[in-house]
Amino acid sequence: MAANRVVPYIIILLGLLSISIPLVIVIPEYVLSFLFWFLAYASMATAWTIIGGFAGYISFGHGAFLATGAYASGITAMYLQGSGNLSPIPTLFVLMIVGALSASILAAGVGFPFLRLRGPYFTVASLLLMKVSYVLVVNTPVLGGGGGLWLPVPPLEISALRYLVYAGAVFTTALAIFLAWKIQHSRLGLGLAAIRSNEDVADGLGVNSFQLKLIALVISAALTGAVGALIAYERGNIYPDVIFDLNISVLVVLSALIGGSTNWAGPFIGAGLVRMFDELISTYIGKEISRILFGTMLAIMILVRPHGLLGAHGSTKNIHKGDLKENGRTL
Amino acid sequence: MEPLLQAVLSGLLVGSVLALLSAGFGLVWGATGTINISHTAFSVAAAYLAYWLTSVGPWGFFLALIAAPLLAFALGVLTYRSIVRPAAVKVRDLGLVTLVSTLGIGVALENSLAAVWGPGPRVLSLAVAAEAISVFDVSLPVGTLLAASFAWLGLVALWFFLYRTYTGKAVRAVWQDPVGTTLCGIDRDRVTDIAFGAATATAALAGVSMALIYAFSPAAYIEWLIWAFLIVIVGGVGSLLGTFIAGLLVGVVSTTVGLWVPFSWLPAILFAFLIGVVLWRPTGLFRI
Amino acid sequence: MKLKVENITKNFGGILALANVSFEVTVGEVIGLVGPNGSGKTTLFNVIAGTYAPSQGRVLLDTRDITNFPPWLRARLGISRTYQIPRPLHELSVLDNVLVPLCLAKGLPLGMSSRSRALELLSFVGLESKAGELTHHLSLIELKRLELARALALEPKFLLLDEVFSGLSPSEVEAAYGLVESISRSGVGVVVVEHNMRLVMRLCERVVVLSFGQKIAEGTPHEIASHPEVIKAYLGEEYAQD
Repeated sequence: MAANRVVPYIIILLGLLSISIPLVIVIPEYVLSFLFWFLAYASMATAWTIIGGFAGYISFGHGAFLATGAYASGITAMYLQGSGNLSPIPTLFVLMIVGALSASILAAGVGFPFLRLRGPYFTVASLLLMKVSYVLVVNTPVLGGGGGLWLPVPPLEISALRYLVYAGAVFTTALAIFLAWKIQHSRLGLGLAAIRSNEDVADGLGVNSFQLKLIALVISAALTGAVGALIAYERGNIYPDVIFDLNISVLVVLSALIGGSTNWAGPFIGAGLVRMFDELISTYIGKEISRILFGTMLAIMILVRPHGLLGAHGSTKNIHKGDLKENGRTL
Repeated sequence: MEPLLQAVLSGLLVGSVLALLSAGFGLVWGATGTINISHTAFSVAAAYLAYWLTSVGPWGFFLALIAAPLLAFALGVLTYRSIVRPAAVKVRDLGLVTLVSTLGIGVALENSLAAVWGPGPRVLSLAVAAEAISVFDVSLPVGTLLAASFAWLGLVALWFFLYRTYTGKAVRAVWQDPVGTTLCGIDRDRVTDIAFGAATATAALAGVSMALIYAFSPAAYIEWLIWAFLIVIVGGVGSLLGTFIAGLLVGVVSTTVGLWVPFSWLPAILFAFLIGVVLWRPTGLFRI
Repeated sequence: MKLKVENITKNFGGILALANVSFEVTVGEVIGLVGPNGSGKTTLFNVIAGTYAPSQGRVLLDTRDITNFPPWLRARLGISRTYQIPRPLHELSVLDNVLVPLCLAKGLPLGMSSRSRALELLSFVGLESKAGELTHHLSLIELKRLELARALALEPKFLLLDEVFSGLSPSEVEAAYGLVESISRSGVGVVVVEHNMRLVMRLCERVVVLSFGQKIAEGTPHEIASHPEVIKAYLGEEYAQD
């Protein structure tokens, strides 16, 4: 199976990225920016796939979690500055935790009603969530309203800041991939795959599908919230129009689909491909053209390969198969 | 009393346009099980077409009024043939797949518009529409009156199609009993082709009408979609009369609530209400 | 242990699928649930399994009222069912299909012991050679066997079999018959929905007959066969006059 062959390469790649952190100083700005956004999308796509790919509950509203993480961390940053406590490394860490927690709370809150919906209704509800959040944020002066929220500038020189932010991105991606891998090979993953196949049958087999879905959604949201905090820190500001942009969701979903939404490695690969094409087309032709292409690609992909280019069926089956052979039995 | 009367009357007018916008969406949903996210994207595209042609000359508006629905009809048929029909054949989860697929199309359309006109809002400037006339001591903009008239025309045409033509009746039959209709010799594919086309055409007509009342931007299609979704759910998927009444209701609510609550909160209130309805009764509040 | 349905009525909008149906199963018994098409047999299964909530009436496990319990809880409490048309978890392998109830309902960790238990269950139904396969490679009889293995993984007290014999060749039926018998001998209460009357006569100690959602008869297979109401339901008025 494609995913299995790719595993060692991903590990090598993550290793390289980690090693590259100290080299940040030497890497040109635009490459660094590209890598940062690649990692951000890789984390978001991996986080998304925990609920969207593993469980089959396709959400286009993860922007709400991203935004919650961003705004919560932004408010926290302003508070910390106010109380004079702003040493950068632990701060970023704290902000990301705040982001993760706030998004999890939102996920737990909306999960109760929303996870009762199936298929398209869940997706529509997720879109609604994003829109309602957008309107709420834009109308709340405390959050900066439509004009956006500006974060206090961390007391660091630019190069150190780049280093920190980049390390944060590598860390988040590694964490997301690790969690996705762990989940996929756990009982939670087995249950989610059962839900994805046929939720009613899974219920009849003793799977508490609501509980499993909720856990998946909360983990997915937590990771996304952490990315939101990271992005806010990197940009130094949060604009509602930017953070709630549906196009981000489209790229995230597409990344997961292209790479294979039912395994832990797929979204990472997909994000890489999507970001590369996005960068190329946006730079040489135009941002809108890139989005038109991706929109069309999404439309076609979901029809032709609903589980992604590289993951035809859940790898759950393959891991078990591989293990059975390992145990010396021929089956 | 007058501001209230003004709000109610203008709500009824606006609501008619919203009803037209939603009617096609509900038609497709009922007949094919597809939640067509790109429905309102076609409306926005039609609004831009009207904008563009009107900027050439006032006659351009009327050209758009005719051309947009025709173009939309063709594109609607194309959408059905290239997405919905293949999906119905090979896919397990039709509702979800068509939703995501049409979302992709919506995004593509949105960005096509943004590529040409940029992301910012546009306003249609038609001289006559800017004037207002007085009805019952209440001042109503001509633009809104025109928009509502087009909407009524569109709704009547849709009603006529569904209830007085053979094809339309076939569509309703397919709606109720997809399998049984094939036994009656109805070519389900051809009938649904036409239904899809008609629905998209009404979306375009509604879009041109909306342009007379509201400003619009490429990204507006999601917001318009949510209005359509709200109306269809309240009125009942598959009921034209229900959709019309729901449209009027939503229109009036949106204008009258604006009297007491800051306008910018309105979407949040309505959308939150919609979430509540979706959770409670996904297929509609009423069954007419 | 007893499974009891008490005055179950199920209304779907205007359609009355079940009207005041009551009966009881004890572990170790094999009960037949028969009736013409549309008499409500599968609906009754759905009510017992928890997929549908009854409009009226109760479902009881010994003295425990489980009427409002969700399906997953009932499965964990010992009520297991198969489907008329097999419903495999198509994204998972055959082995994984059996692992789902083992690891998620019975709480076994993923590992050697659960996998060997799953293989045991697959052997019991004769599917161990297909353990690594994806379910869309399986034939109908193999899918039915998988349904059974999966249902058994729950270590049920009560097993609801919905037309498990239909679509099988005579030799396959004999094999399935043997499996069902041994399941019941191991102390499981089995309720069998079946159209094949000869099988029902052989297999079941008691038979409940439904017609248009109502229970019209209950008794030994022999009693049922000569019951006038039953004959009327299946064959019409004229034959009932005897």
